Amino acid sequence: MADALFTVEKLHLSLPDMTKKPLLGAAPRIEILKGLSFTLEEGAITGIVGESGSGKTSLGRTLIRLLKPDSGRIVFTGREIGTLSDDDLQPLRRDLQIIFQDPFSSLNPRKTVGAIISAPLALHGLANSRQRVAEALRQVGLPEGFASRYPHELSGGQRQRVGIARAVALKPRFILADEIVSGLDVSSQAQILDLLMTLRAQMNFTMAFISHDLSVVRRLCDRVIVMRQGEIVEDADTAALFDRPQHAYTRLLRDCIPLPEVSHGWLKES
Amino acid sequence: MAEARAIMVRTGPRLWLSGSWLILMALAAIFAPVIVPHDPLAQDLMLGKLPPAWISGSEPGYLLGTDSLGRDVLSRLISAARPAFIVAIGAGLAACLLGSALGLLSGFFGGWTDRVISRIVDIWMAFPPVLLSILLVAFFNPSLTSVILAIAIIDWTRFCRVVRAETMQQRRMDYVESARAMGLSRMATLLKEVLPNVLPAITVLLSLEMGIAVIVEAILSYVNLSVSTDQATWGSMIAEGRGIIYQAWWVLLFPMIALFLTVLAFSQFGEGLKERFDPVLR
Amino acid sequence: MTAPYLTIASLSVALKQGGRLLRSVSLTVHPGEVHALVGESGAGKSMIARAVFGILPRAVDVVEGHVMLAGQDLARLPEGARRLYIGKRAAFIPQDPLTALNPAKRIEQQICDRLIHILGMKKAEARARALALLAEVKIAEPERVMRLYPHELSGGMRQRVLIASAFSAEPRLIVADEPTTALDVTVQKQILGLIADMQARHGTGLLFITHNLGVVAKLCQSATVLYAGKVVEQAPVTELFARPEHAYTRALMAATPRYDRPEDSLKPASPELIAELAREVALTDAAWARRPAHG
Repeated sequence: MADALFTVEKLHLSLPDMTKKPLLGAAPRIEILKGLSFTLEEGAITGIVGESGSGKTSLGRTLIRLLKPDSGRIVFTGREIGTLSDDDLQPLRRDLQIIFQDPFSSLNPRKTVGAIISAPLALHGLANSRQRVAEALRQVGLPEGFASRYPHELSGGQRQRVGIARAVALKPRFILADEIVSGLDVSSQAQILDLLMTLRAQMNFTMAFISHDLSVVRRLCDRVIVMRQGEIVEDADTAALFDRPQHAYTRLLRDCIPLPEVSHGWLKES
Repeated sequence: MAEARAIMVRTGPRLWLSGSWLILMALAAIFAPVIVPHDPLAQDLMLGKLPPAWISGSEPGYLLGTDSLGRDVLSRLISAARPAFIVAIGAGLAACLLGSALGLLSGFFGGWTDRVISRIVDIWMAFPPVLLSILLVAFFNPSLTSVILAIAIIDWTRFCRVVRAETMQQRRMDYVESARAMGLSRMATLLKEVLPNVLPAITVLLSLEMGIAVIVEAILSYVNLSVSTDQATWGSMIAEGRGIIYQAWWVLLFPMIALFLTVLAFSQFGEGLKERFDPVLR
Repeated sequence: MTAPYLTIASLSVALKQGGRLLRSVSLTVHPGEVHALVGESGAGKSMIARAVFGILPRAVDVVEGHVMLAGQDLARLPEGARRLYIGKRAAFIPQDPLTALNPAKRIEQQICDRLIHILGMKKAEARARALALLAEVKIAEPERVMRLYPHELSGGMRQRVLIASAFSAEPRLIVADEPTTALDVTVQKQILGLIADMQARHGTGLLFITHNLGVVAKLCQSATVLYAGKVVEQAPVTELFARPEHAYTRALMAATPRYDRPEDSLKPASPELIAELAREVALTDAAWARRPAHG
């Protein structure tokens, strides 16, 4: 049993509801995460699955401290990071990387691919940027010449690879993948997931893979956490979760996936 | 060689034409004392209201004619480029720097910073601009500096509003989150990641502002609130020309053409720069 | 064997100065049939939908073939008559319910406007019909929902409104462009069930555009697989899944994630296949270039 890279206890997060903000005074807060507790094993890929409003995206952002939790503990490599200030977090950021969903907005349109990948390297004082950039590009299967291109010259799948290259360039211990294949075609999706599995084998990072698509996590993830409206509904080993779901909601999510098997009666089943 | 040719092909006529006119005007502004055919201030009542060279009744050497005091129109036109440019660049940059800085801060940091700056802009914009500029200029001694100040003090709000909107839009993009996740400080994110994406909008606004500044200066000197010396300005030439339009239409026409072309050139130059240098548009 | 309601015959469209975006596409939808149009982004599915509604972008020209709706060649109708003809017979369900609805109009207005303009209904009649439709798409409290604005509804409810709106003028053909892609999987099942239900009840033909093979298997009777604007396979759905013939179809199936057979899914296409497909397209284009010139 590997060590837990992340241990989360009774995590609470709320965000202000700006649509209900009164003229004077603070906006009322909506509870997004309602006391979550779980662990992420080192070297494992854990899927965090849920529908819209489940809080999965907020959970991801809170784990890497782009959001500050209201209460609860987040222990990363043995260190409590839930209450750290931005300054104290800075040295840890190297090991907390994120890959975004939207390949169009996650890359600065006015920077070259090389500049985008090397920016975090320079920030954390790593030398040999050019070599590392070339290495990162090679790792994600993009030609070295792409370093001088701009994002709009690349396809969606290629942009997503640049996002991955940016995240792995620092050789982080943890990567958050936030719905990274949700906007992609079936074949691009397969390529990206294949790439992630290869990289994980090579680099042995820990990953949290957020997705609304349960079928995607079956092959990629070692463990799955199912979320619903800010709570964890089920947290199990992937095969067990799919074969013997314990919770009715998990069963519902699984059964709503249309498998590519012809069955016209499926739609009538409730 | 092929690269140079490629760059020339890529740059549209817009940039070339407007750039050429502006360079011409800039040279006129810088070298006026040296290149003017006649002293712009020299009066000779014997040579008053002479028509341009291609019309009968003209004198050789006075290419665009003379005004009612016998001063050479061409020389005055050239020397008037200097105050126009000084105001364009001075007021344009001043309004741009102040407005853009506040717009960036307000759009990026939000919260109280945004609230305070936005309220200031709202209140500021409530003052009637023309009245304000006339008051300001009348308050300080009329000079180019007071004109520059007057324009900048009013027009910075235009920059602030637009830059704030652009900044807010960029702030929503994931690459800003990504910079934060990297560990970049908020100020560094604003300057290194967001600013390059707001710069095209600022460039276009700045060039427009320069054109506006030239016109405002012309208006102010039309009503005698600009430089108080005999220094020729297009505005004062137009004022004078209006009075003698039936006897000497050239005194009105040429400064108007110069004004029009210069303002047009400024705006087109900004657009052309954006087209040429913005990586996203390539 | 009834005549097809929609016939697309050897349709090729191209950019004014460039290559073809659709390469001799042929497909038919019979009355009451659910036909899938399967392909990935850039394959040309949306272009086909636009061709059916006569709204191809201006930069694009039809260079071959025609589109026939209820036996009428759409190209032969003048602009205004064509719009009316299509409006009475076909409707569209878009992918993104948020941008498809006018944010400044109440739901009531959006549905009724259609009825008043296309069917020439009176306001009271249109309102009654709109209420009936909202009930048919299983919206609870239709009276209340009619008064709401689009942003006050959830994604699923918005899509139901769009479905109601599409069926409102009793079209004989509906083109649905990935209508459930933006929805949660539980909502997707409900919406797909609703679409199937409405389609069966009204006897409407459905051209269902999707890249999700699972949806094709559960909803559709026949399918056309599109790659780079070219039809690579066309078959009844049972045959398509039992014996996929074209390499691209097989690759799509291999790449589709399956939770019941994880090792057999999510397989990326091999570079050989991609090269093979490119060659196939190039051959098609070469044959096209050699075709005898016609006046």
